[in-house]
Amino acid sequence: MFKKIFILFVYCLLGVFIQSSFASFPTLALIKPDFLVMLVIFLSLKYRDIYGLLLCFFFGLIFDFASVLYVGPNAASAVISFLVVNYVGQKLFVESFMGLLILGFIVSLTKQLVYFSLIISWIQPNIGIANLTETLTTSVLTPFVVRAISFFGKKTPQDKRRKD
Amino acid sequence: MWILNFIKENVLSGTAIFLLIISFCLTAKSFEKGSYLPSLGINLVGRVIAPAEKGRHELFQSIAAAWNRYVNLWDIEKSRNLLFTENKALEDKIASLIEVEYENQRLRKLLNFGQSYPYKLIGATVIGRNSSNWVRSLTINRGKQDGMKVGSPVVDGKAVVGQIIAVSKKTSTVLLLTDNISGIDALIQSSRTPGIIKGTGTAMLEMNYVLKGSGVVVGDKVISSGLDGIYPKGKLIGTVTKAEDTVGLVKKIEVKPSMDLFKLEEVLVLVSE
Repeated sequence: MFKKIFILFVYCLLGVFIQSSFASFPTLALIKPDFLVMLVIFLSLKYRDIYGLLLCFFFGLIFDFASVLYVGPNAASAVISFLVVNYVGQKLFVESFMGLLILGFIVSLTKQLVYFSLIISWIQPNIGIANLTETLTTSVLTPFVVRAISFFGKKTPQDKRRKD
Repeated sequence: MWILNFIKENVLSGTAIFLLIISFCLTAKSFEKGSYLPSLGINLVGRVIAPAEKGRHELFQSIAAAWNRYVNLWDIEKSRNLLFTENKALEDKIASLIEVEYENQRLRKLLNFGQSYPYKLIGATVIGRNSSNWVRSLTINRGKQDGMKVGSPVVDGKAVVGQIIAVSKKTSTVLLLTDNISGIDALIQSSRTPGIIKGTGTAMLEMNYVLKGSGVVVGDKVISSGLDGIYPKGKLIGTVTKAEDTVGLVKKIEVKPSMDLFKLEEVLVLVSE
């Protein structure tokens, strides 16, 4: 169990590293895709219980600490995104390529909505075309990243039962 | 018994609400003046990520250096001659500037002015950029052990870059001037019109509280006034790209920063002595 948690936190730190170092490359107008959204989707599909919720919260907190400025908005948006994935997962076949793409789009929009709703009490954020660009780049990359993490991740009994 | 059943059925929702309340409290705490949370963040996560960012930066620098050394050889002779001529001109300019410096010191002594530049300049390399699209910041390879302090202004040699907001042992985070919460007291260089430069979260800045009739035009240079006690006086901030009258008493002024965010590789931190 601790090994599993350790591996998941390595994925999270890798996501933070990629977000800050490489993520300017595959982007439109130099807006980076949001790797937290991809990690949250992966966790929410893999662990649909309280364990997944807590992991999403802590991953959001790590991304908040990495941004250095505001601690809390990413954590809150990760929690809401988990609930959205759980809900949408019951309505759509989200494990297909298109399903993951649509899920990436919905979750990215939700995350930005929650993020800006939280900070708007203190500052006036500049909301515009950049938000849509981030949503589009995130949704396009989500199927690839989620499938890559699933491919390298160890299968849980839940996955084996699903496959059977 | 029904309470236990209720809790069992609503564990997920209850936990989600509880976590949201914690997140809101943390967000409120982050916005408090002098909050310890940004420093906590850089010490917890920054220490783990910083060595990887340094390694990535050095690898890219080596690849870029190899490319420049072996692929651009045919340009070296031309560049060499150009640089030689430029160097001669700069040497002449330095000589005359030294004279101006001496004259300035003599005049200041005469007029009994205080020392105008009580800063120590520390060079730093940019090893990482903002991890979020909505926070404009950089990570530099200087930390507490190099004398970095929260609040120290950062420049890139000719223009203002931003301010240090969090410091760990070996790295620091610089909040760029273009971030939403950045602000700097400024002047139009030619007309000495005062105003406040504010970040907008995009690549541009806006200058607020400039009255109509102030004579600000497109192309005017904007410099720091030094009145905020953070940035030294006279540092270049940017150039006015738009100056329009509004229905109120003030002008709407857009400023293009002189620092090129995407080409920033080395910066200077001004640490007060």
